[in-house]
Amino acid sequence: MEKQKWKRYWNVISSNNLGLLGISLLVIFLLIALLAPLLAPFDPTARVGAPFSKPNGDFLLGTNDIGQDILSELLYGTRVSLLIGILAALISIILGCLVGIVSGYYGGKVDSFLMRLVDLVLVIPFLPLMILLAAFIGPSFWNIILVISLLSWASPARVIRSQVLTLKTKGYVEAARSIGTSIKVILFRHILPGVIPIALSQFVMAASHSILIEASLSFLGLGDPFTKSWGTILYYAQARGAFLTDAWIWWVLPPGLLITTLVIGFAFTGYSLEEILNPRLRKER
Amino acid sequence: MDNSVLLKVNQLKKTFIKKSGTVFNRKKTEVYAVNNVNFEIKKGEILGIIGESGCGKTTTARMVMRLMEESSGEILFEGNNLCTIKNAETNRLRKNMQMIFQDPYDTLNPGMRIVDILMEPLNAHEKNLPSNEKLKRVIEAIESIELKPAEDYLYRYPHQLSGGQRQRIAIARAVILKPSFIAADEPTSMLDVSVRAGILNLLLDLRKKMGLTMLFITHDLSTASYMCDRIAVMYQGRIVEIGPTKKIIQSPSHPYTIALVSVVKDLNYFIENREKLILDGEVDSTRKDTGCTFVTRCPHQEKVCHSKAPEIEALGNGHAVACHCHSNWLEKTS
Repeated sequence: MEKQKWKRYWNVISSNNLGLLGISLLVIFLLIALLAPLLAPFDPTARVGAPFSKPNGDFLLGTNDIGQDILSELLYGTRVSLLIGILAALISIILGCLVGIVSGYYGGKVDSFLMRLVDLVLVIPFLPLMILLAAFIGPSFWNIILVISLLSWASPARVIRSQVLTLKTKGYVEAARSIGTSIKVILFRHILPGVIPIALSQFVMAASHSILIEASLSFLGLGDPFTKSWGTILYYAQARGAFLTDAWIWWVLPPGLLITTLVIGFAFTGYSLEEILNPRLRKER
Repeated sequence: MDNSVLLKVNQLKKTFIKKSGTVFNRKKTEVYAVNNVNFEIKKGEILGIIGESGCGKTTTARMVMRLMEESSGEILFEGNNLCTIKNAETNRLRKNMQMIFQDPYDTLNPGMRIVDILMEPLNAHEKNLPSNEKLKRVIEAIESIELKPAEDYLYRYPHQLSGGQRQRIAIARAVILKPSFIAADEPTSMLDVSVRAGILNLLLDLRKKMGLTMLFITHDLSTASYMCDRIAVMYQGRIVEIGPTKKIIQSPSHPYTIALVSVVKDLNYFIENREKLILDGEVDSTRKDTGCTFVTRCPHQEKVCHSKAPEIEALGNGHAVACHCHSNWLEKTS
């Protein structure tokens, strides 16, 4: 039974080119992150060549200002960017789901209170506060995750609440109530499955968002200077003037392209997951 | 309470508050959705409630099923007053009272398979049953609604079934716990005419087999006369006439009922008497509670109709009507 189910899911994914592309991209990035020590030709923290080398046989993407191999930096950076993106998105979606479901299902005063809180978080100027927070609590891996998730749960909460509001009035929720099903079961079996497709697409958006925010914070020098993420690579590239010389081709472009590709991978995966969880979106075969 | 009465509704009332005006000059108007409704249903009986859209028939059913709080009044089910008992107790009683909803496309969760949908009542009320026993009950229920072979339907999703089949599944979900009472809220109004009769016959069949008592809500007099032992006619939240089906159809006593019946009964009679039967005027449920609610549209109104609300008045043989002057104009017309 279970096996059949997974087989059916796989059929849905594999019949969708975009989904397949998205999943392949994510799998590739995941493999890169996991196998970074095997793939990377050098230790990214070691000085292995002359500073500012152009790409050559030994260093495919050249070296940076202190002679570290940029390719190895990028491969290891996948780990940090991916992890921060996923963790921050996960925390903000869980928070958003919780607030959205409680607010939407119970309504009334609880709803008003939580939604005013959401409004408060939403109207705060995002980037300045983030910069302030990051600067104030200090740059570290976990602080970055905390800052991102603390400021990005509000819009998923709002979207999920609105979905719960429409789900609540569905006939099958009312039918479940008239049957005598407990609230716990109603929330888990009827409301949550209806929320998951939206939560997933929100997760995808939040994950790509988090990756971008991490990159921009690091680029501004507010990330942890000792962890090598794509953002910090860009930060050093900018600080050492790579934007003004030929070096942008091998120092600035690759991390930028990687960030874009990863974000696209998340988006495409989100679409096909949505199709699995909402049978009505499936094409008849 | 009389032992043969399963459900008794006393002075049931539901008002909604309509807000209007600005912040400084806020007006709150009460809108009566259901106004002093009384009826009782005997064991094994089908009581039909008919009336136009917005007359309060669905609201009444939802209050009986405890999907909505009443404003005042009492609902007695098997001797328990549903309006005062606690939620947990209500949930226990739901085992004996189930509802069939109007829209079969909306009432089955599109993400659940038929087997999961039918398991839901069992999971709520018979948790301790072993799962193969539950599956057996589900198959029995599918067979009882004449979808055969049952195994073919178990693992399908609702969107793979037709409207009639979905409504049958909804009925199976309502009867799987073997309840004593079912409220059916316009179960055929969203279906094609061709499958309606099948669903109605199925309900009558189940009633015979399981001794079901039913509250049958419809806006269609012919459906009601086919299904029901007794009919209550609702107009703007009030029951204006109640009685055995035969009486209501053959000798309607309220001008509203007469208008309803004449359309179905005899097209010739209807065409000849158009002016007298077509109902003019507006429906306004916010109007003050003085006078008969039907007065804006009634062709036979007299002075007293504007000042005093008619009480429901027995005519004998379980037939009752709420109209000041039914005796006067009935003589005139006959």
